[in-house]
This record gives sequence, C-alpha cells and structure tokens, in this order.
Amino acid sequence: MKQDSKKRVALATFYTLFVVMLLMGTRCESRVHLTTPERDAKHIAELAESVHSEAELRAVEKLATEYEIAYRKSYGGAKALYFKSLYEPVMDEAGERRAIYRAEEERVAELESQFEASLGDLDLAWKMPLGSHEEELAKIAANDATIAEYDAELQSLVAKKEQLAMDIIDAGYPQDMLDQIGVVEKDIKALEDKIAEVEHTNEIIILANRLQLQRTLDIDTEEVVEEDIAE
Amino acid sequence: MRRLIIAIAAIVTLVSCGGNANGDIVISEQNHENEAYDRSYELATRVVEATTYEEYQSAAEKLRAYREAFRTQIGGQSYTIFLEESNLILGDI
Repeated sequence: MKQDSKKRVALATFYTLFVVMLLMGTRCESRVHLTTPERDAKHIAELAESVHSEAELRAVEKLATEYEIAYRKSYGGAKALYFKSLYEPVMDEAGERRAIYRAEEERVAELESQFEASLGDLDLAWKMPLGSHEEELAKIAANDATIAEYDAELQSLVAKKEQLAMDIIDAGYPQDMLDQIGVVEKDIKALEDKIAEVEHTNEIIILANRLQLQRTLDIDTEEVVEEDIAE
Repeated sequence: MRRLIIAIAAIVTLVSCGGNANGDIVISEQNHENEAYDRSYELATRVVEATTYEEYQSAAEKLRAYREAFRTQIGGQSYTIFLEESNLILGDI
C-alpha cells in the first residue's frame, strides 16, 4: 500500500516535471521575449543603428520579423501591425545606411585592386627578361600586328551584330536570333579582352625597358623615322 | 627560483624587443589623415623611383605594410586616402 502511494507520488512528480519542461521548451524555442511594442521596437532600433554589414542588417531584420510573428501569435494582427509600424522606418534607415556603406566598400575594393594591379605590373616589369633595343621593338611590333588582326575581326563582328540587331527587329524578336546575337556579343567581349591583354603586355614591355635599362621604346617615332626614310 | 625569474624576464625582454625590431607600424590616432597623405606620397614615390629590383621589392613591401596598418588600425577615410594617393603615384609611372 505504502509502495503504491510512493509510486503514485513519483509518477505525479515525473509528469509535472515533464509538463514544466515542455512548457519551458516551447518558451526557449523562441529567441524573443515580448515586453511592449514600444520597448521592443526601441530594442530593434538600437540594434539597427549599429548595422554596418549586410549580414548584420539581415540579422536585425530577422529578429524584427521574429518579434512581429511573436506579437501576431500572442496578441493578434493589430498589435503586430502596430509593432511593425514602429520598427519599419528604423529598418528603412538602416537599409539606406547599409547602401551607403556598400558603395563605400565597393569603392575601397576597387582602390585596393588598382593598388595591387599597379604593384603587380611593376613587379612583372622588373622581372621581365629583356633583349636588345631592336628585339624589344620587334616584340612590340609583333604585338601590334596581333592587335590589328584582332581589331579587324572585332570590326567584322560588330558589323555582324548591327546587322543581326536590325534583322531581329524586322523578324519580330525570334528567340533563335536573340540567341545568335548573344553568341556574337560574347565573341566581341572575348576579342576585346584579348586586345586588352596584348595591349597590357606592350605596356609592361615598355615599362620593363624604362625601369631596368632606362630605355625608351617609342615605336611611333620609329615608324615616323621609317616613313621619312621611305619617302 | 631567482634564476628562473631572470630567465623569464630575459625571454620577455627579448620577445618585446623582437617585436620592435620587426618594425611594427603604429599609425598616430590623432594625426592619421595627414599621415595617410605623407606616408603614401613618400612610400609610393620610393616604389616608382627604385633603381633596382631589390630596391623596388623593399619599397613595395613597406608600402604594403603601411597599407595594411592603415587598414587594420585606422580604416575609414584615412585608409581610402592612403590608397587613392598611392594609386595616383603608382599609376603615373
């Protein structure tokens, strides 16, 4: 008899603890603990003021949404909407501020990449093996010839693209022709990149000659001199 | 015990001196904007005016070290000034 009552007490204790833990579990599941809409909105505003990065902005937005959902669950839509009306302007301001930071970050990233590119060019120029004056001029002339070839190809592609664009208008924008112009545009971009690469190589050759041997490679002058001789 | 303390003190001194010998860069917190202008001009000029590859390497290393110091210690406007001014000189070559 005594053992039965002990069992019952133990079972009752177990169930009570189980229910308490369940209740606590549901409470712990949510990150937000509601106070008043004004106070919670102020908390969100304080967090939003310190936003610097995209990730921070997203985290504050997520938290604000969690509060809003909690208000909707606990007090219904009206209070949730009231809470939203309090925090939304602050989040908009944080978003604008973030856009300014992002623009600044992009600018700094561009400056950093320019900085490294300049040092990279100088490094390449210092390490470039150099030949005689004539050999260096020949390298540049060969590169110029390559550029001229690419340029002729580029002009023909540009003309092809223009013709295609006109044909597309006449044909009423069919998908296969749009795909075709897409391919041509890709080829144009690839050729432009190739030209830029060879031009860059020439710049490095000129820089290398100047840095290592204080030698000027003035290919235009050479051409002028050659033309004068021919005349 | 005394020997141990002396040994530890010697190690601590060596480590702290070692740090200085490595040339740890400290940017002035009061005058960082002017320092950004001055240092970028001075160091980038040294890079472009180097007459040997070794001279160039040493100057470029120092320029990069200062850029890193401005980035990590100061950031913001002064870091941007350092980059802009350096790029002006480096791009001019």
